[in-house]
Amino acid sequence: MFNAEDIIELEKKWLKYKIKQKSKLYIIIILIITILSFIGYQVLFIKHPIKYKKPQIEKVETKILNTKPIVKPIVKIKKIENNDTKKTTTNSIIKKPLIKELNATKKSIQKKQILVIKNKKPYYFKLEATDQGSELFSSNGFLTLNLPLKEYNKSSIIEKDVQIHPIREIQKVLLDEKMDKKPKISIDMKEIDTISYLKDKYYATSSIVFALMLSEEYYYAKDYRNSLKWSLTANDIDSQNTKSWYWFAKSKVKLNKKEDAIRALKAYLSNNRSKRLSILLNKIEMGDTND
Amino acid sequence: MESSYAEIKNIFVDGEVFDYVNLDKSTFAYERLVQTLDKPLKLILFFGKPGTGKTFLLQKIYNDFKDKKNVVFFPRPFFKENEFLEALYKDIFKEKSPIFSGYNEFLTMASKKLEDKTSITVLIDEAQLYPQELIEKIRLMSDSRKFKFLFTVHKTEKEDVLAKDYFQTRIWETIELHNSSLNEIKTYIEKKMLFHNKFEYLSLFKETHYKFLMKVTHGNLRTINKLMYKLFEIIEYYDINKPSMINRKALKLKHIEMAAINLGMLNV
Repeated sequence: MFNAEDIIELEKKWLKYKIKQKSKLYIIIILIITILSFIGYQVLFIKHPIKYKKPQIEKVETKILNTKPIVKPIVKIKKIENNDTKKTTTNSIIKKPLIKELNATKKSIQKKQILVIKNKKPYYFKLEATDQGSELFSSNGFLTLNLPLKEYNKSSIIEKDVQIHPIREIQKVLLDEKMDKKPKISIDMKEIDTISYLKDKYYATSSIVFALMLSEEYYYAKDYRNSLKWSLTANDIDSQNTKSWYWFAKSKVKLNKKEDAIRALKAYLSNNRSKRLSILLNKIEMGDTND
Repeated sequence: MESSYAEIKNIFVDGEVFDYVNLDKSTFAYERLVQTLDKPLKLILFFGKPGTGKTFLLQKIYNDFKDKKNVVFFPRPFFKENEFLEALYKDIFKEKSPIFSGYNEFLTMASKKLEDKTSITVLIDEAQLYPQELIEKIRLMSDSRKFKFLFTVHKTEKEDVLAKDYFQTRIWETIELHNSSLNEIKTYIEKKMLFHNKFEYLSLFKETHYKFLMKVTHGNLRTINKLMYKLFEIIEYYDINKPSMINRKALKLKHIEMAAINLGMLNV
């Protein structure tokens, strides 16, 4: 039979055995955890590394490049020939359902671009170059452009329109709007050839900033016709930009189309708010045409 | 002060013939061995790993048939021819053996005395310990048809008994005894307890205990006996000196592990 010493010795051995047994188990568990952690790390960080978020504007640009450009024709131009007077009248007829639909599309895209200004009313006015001589707005109340065709050759305007008309790319619009907020473009280039420089820049970037600057440059150079065209170009890029309306109105005034300027400004202000354009409207109405 | 566990401990003392337990595998081997006794075979090889119950089985056969058939059982090996022949003569004829010059002399004398009697079955345990020369003489004796030999041999992991030269050609029948399965271990312990009227202690054994026994003994009955003896020896100590350390309803695995450690079955 066992004695006390034998049993104490045996119990010690048993304790040692249990510790050894448990330590083996713990080692296996630690190994499994380590392997699983390593596999998890591999799966999470190596195979699928965390993608740093690119600037939002870049992402939106990519998306927009893949989308179809915004449908341009908002206003349907209808030519009516008058046999007696042989004058061509252009009527802009708005198909309201179509416009609403287009506006909705435009709005949704703008939402994606995160560039839509909140609480702004839907806007669908657009400055359109026409050969109409007297009417700024169609009978439906939409804005058209009256150019002094008596003084200018119609074909030359169209030709120049083609030259000026920008190839519109939406990503540029985004960039423009971004830049619109911080338009820190050096204008110390005047001494070289500001207009040529701005034109090069515009054709290279199709940016509304350069179109607006060109409009302004031409205006101060007293070339009001070109100023008007570049304001239209800018408006074509972004019809909500108040500056395009500003230079359009000012050029119109200088081209003796004060009424067109007033109607355009009123039309814009009926749906939008702009302190600058309101002041300009007041000034035009008061007959103050000085710069 | 005597502990009740001391009695249980003694149940597992090895070597008692009457304590043979009928397990499935040993029952099957027993039947085959009994059948071979009636067949006109000269040599039979009965082998298995140490502790599988070969000796127990031979002892049982001997006890069962010693009064019915001419059966001789040699549980211990002989290393000299004379000693073997004299022991054989004494067991067969129940008289003191003369000194034989060789196996031929023994054969002549034995044939005369046996006359037309049926052959003698000699059960030889631990045959692997016999000298090869003596094995060869035994084989020659079997050719006389007066003697039938059953060799019981240990089969180890490294050694295949059938590969040995002297067992290759003349063995007419081979019977192998395998280790016990988990269920056979259960049966073995249960029958042991019941046989010794200790059935109230059967409830001490749970499934986990049997599994642990199987794990450390690999179904070797001799090892199980040793382990059980040591286990109840440890419990006996606790019962006398630290009774609170014993669970009266079930064995503690700790105690079985301690017994296994003491016997070197578990490495510390």
